Amino acid sequence: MLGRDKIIELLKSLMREAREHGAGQAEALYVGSHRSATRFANSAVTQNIKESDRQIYFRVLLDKKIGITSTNSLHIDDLRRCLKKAIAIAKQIKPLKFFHSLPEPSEYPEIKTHFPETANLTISDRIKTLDNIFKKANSELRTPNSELKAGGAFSTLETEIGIVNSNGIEAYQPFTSANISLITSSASASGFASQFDRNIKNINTKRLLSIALEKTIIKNKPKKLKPGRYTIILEPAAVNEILEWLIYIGFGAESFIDGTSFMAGSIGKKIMSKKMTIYDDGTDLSGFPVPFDFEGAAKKRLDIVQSGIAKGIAFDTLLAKKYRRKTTGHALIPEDVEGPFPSNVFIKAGGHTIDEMVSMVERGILVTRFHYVNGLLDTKTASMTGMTRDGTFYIEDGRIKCPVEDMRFTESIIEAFSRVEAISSERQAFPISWSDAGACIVPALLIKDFNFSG
Amino acid sequence: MTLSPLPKHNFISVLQHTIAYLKKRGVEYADIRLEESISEGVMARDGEIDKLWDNFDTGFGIRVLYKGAWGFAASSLLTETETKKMVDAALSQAKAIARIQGSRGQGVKGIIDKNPAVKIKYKAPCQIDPFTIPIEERLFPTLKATSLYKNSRQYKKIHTIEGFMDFQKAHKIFLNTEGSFIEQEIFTSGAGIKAIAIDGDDVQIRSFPDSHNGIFRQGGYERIIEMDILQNAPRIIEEALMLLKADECPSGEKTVILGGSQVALQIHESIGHAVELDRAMGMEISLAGGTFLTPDKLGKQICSKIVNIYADPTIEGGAGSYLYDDEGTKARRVDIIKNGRFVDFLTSRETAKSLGKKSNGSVRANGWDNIPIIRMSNINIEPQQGVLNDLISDTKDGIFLQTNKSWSIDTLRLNFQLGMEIGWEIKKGRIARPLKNLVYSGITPQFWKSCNAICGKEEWQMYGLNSCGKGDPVQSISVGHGAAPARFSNVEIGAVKC
Repeated sequence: MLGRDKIIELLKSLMREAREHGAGQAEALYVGSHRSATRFANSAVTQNIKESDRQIYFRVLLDKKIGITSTNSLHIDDLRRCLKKAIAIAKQIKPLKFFHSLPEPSEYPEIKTHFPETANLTISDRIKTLDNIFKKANSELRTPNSELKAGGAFSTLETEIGIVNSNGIEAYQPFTSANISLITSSASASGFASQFDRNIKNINTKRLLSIALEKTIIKNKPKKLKPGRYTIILEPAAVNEILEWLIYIGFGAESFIDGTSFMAGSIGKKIMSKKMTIYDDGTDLSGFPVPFDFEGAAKKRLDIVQSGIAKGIAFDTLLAKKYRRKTTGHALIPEDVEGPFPSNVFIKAGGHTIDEMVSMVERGILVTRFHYVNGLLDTKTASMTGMTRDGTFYIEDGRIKCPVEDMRFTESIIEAFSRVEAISSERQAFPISWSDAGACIVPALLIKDFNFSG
Repeated sequence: MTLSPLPKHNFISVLQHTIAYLKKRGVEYADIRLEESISEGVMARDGEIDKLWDNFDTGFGIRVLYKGAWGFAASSLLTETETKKMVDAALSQAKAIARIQGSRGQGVKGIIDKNPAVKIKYKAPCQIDPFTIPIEERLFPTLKATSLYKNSRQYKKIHTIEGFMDFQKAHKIFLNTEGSFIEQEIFTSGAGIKAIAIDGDDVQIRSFPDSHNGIFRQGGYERIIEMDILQNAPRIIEEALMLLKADECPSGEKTVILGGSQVALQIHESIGHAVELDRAMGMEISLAGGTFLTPDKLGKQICSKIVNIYADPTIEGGAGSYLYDDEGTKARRVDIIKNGRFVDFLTSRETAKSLGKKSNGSVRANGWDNIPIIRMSNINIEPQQGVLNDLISDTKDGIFLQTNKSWSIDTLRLNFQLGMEIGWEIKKGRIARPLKNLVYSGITPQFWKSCNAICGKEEWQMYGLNSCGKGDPVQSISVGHGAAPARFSNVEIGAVKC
């Protein structure tokens, strides 16, 4: 960790140089990350990774022409070369008629997002935690023909972001996160559990193991179900897989502008069940807030779907100017070409426990998680496909009856989310793949007539 | 505040001393990769640059094997102090694991095979260094292609045309405790365009030369020239418009001919990933999953007899080509499927040893900051004979499928569903009509056993993607596939039905 003072001082000095070299406006973004990850399989540690990287991104504006460069070398010669290249690129490309200014300064709330317990977790701590999991899994079920194995990944991340621009923005935020995903598997079944938290102290491996084992140690043989429409309960991990694709194909400005999003042409219209409310809130302390986006715009709540009605889309400054909107504070790093995307997404909680939701189902399927979901089948209807994995169960007369062989779904998620009957009160956090500064916070959903295609 | 890394030649000397130090510390094996890359990416839309960015990236990663346990630490700071920190971190990881796993009998020595020491410098072929071409000239094909028919009433349903270009020059130095010092320099170039046509809720996309940002290959700007984007853009735009009026694909079991790029993707998803030995050993279970091809399946018929698939990192211009892999193993051609039988896995030094074999050189890391794992290099299908037109003429009733749109497969690489941008109905050996919204599905061995024709070398070409994901944290890497159009019978196909 370099800390606020060193980072802001470095970025300010680079901005002074940018102005001296003729940049009209300029921005420097520092992202330093220290990641540790331990992977395990067959109840043994298989890989360990410790990685430290520091990226500096420049955006310079010369008469509406933007140059973007980046480097992970903090050597002054490399930084100067990188800055000059951004200016050179800006000089050579055509102006963006619509774009005239980088963001102006904002007020940011002070929030605690960095936990030293997470940052300082040692390799010995990590290995001991995992070894306890291996021993417990091993002792649960061991017969000549069946042995439980644990696999997964246990990672921690410490990041600091600093932004300075020539309009006066000075922003800095350090944050941490810890994530564990656990699969226990026997010869005939597997179970999954995961937890994502800013503070390692909140990670409860005993609970995770208990959840995974409960899904794995089922006496009945898996039942093969025919393709067709079933009432389903999607547990949070399964909901998260689908939500990530909804965000990717529908909730960001790029897909909205190119017309492929299911949200394009639907703002103000009812697109889902009135039970469904989806919003982004980078200030909500119950999520993974960071008070500003990657160009220093302040985070605020963005209603995406409110009581089933399409409300809003995530914009950054560049695309907002192009389409005469205001930034919603969702800029990603300057090199990103797919965003902006919402990065602190919540599905509003309901009022049921998952057990209560199971009791509401006469005949149906409980899905723990999906594998390899793809949402590009038809983005206007958010048609997706994917396979179930690690804990799929048949429900009969309000009880879990037996495991089910994995099945493929093919479904319009917009239509499926119009058939949501119940939402759990408990929500779970998951990391997002396009930014370390955010999370999805999702409940379980009970959906009628969900299509399993085979 | 800036840091003062050592000049590159001095830092290499530090790394050489580090290798000597690790030997003294009693490691079973260690390697270091020092990597440096410059890259440029461009996203264009309707004739204008949306984004153009340039990146310089450097760093080193140290991997140690101590009493049967691995440690890996990597940093972007090229200083002696940081190198010492990373050595300590990698060693402490390995020792912590060895302490616990050794006590339970899992930590054992000799888990990798031995490689001979190699000292070599290799430059992959590159005719035109893309970074030497002025920006305007370099971007011209993409900008021009995405501006075609702009503001034309006839093409008003073409909502947007997007273009993508990417160039990279990567330089990698590998050194290990066996005495190897391997230097490799590789250029990669890629480009693609996509036309998006919209009529109400009907969105149709046509891409060239392939979807998902185009085709990536090793080499310089000559790869962009070879694609001839400008020549092909008008056809793609017309096809996108045509799809708005096209019929949906009828459902049922049909004979299908997959275009070359889709054969490439089919190989990638259902064969390439399935033959990774780390998956077969359960090492990727948490995220990527396992595979139906476990070692007991070696020798079994999983494809029709005309199917021969091989890994070849030595082929010129493949997106996944190299001379030595990231464990210092020499690249070579490896038969994966021979006359339809499954004959070998992609292996690493550790996993191969578990089968009593030597590594076949299939290990790569995405950059200095990731641990090397088993990856596809270029997984190619051998051409048979004939051209595409002859294959279509030889098909009484079928559908010719072009350009992937969506992809999904289960954890064992068996149950797949793949969506396509466009299909062409074939009746009595002739193209009858275009079809849209197509998905086909199947179970891997049944599907490949139904392969009854593969076009010849006239139709065979290298395809490449730059975003194959594996590992946890996910590593995204370039992979190549040499493929030709091929025909399959009794394939379940239809329009997207939800």
